Amino acid sequence: MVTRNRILAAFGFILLAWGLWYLFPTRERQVRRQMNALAQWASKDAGEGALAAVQAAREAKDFFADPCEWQADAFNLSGQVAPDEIARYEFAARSRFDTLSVKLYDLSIDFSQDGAAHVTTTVRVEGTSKEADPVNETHEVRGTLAKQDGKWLLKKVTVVEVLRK
Amino acid sequence: MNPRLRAFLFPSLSPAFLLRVLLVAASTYLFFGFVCTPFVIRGQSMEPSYRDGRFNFIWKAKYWFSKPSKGDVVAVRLAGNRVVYLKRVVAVAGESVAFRDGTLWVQGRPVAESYVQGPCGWNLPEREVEPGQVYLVGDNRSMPMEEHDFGQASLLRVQGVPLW
Repeated sequence: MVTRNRILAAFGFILLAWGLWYLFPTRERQVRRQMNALAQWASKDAGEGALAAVQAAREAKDFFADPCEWQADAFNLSGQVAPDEIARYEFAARSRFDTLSVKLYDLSIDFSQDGAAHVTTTVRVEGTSKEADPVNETHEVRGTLAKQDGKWLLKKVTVVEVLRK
Repeated sequence: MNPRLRAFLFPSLSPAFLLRVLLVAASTYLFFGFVCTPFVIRGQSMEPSYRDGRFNFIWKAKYWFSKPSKGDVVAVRLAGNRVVYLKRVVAVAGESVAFRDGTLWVQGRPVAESYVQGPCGWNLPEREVEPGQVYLVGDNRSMPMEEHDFGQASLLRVQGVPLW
């Protein structure tokens, strides 16, 4: 009986520790979760309807600050961009592709004195266009996130030119 | 069962055995993590030399005591080690590089590239490779120039060479 109680107590302790770890994430895990949610948001499954695409695009404000500064010369995108505008870009992109898979690799996170999170990651985009052409893009991306109303929002995005023509 | 075979297959968990396991695990991690890293090729930019889906290793010791030279195929890191570009060095720091009607020109002279196959109509104005950089291009020039990732990259990003 004593052994059983000990096993139950150990199990309960592990469950409690896991619950605390899950429910009260460190700020690094919060940022990591947000970045992974962003990658999931930007991905698209085959057969996504127009309504779902509109709904997905509307969620841009859950990831980007207003405004968000972009430096992406490779995509001719530079300057301050509002979440509504990002939503329009996202909707346009979703309607051009049949499937899109966005994955983040080597995500590193640093925090500055002012509490902002600085992330560096490799973004890999794979999918197929509506014309069935394969899409295969890889970029190093740096971002700065600030916490606003309890959410980590991207206020700066820079697409790094690893290879400069 | 032969006692020696049994001892090999089912060793007793002695401290010496656990130490051996630890040493093998640590050296495997260090070797495959920092010296000879496995990778799978994704994409067609280095075809026909390196085909999509093929398995290989990045030999990182190659540039521990030397620098990349022209003709080397190198792995270039992005944000970390998990995703790398695989490209060929066509020019080094201080050299000029250009494309004219699909032909690579380095230092004002056309370069014969036996590894390039298929039609190529690229045109790129002449530019000089900056100090501390190398100019990298994929072997597959049959795709439009705009869709091909190439250009100069810092030597600090060059990780090594594919093993074969």
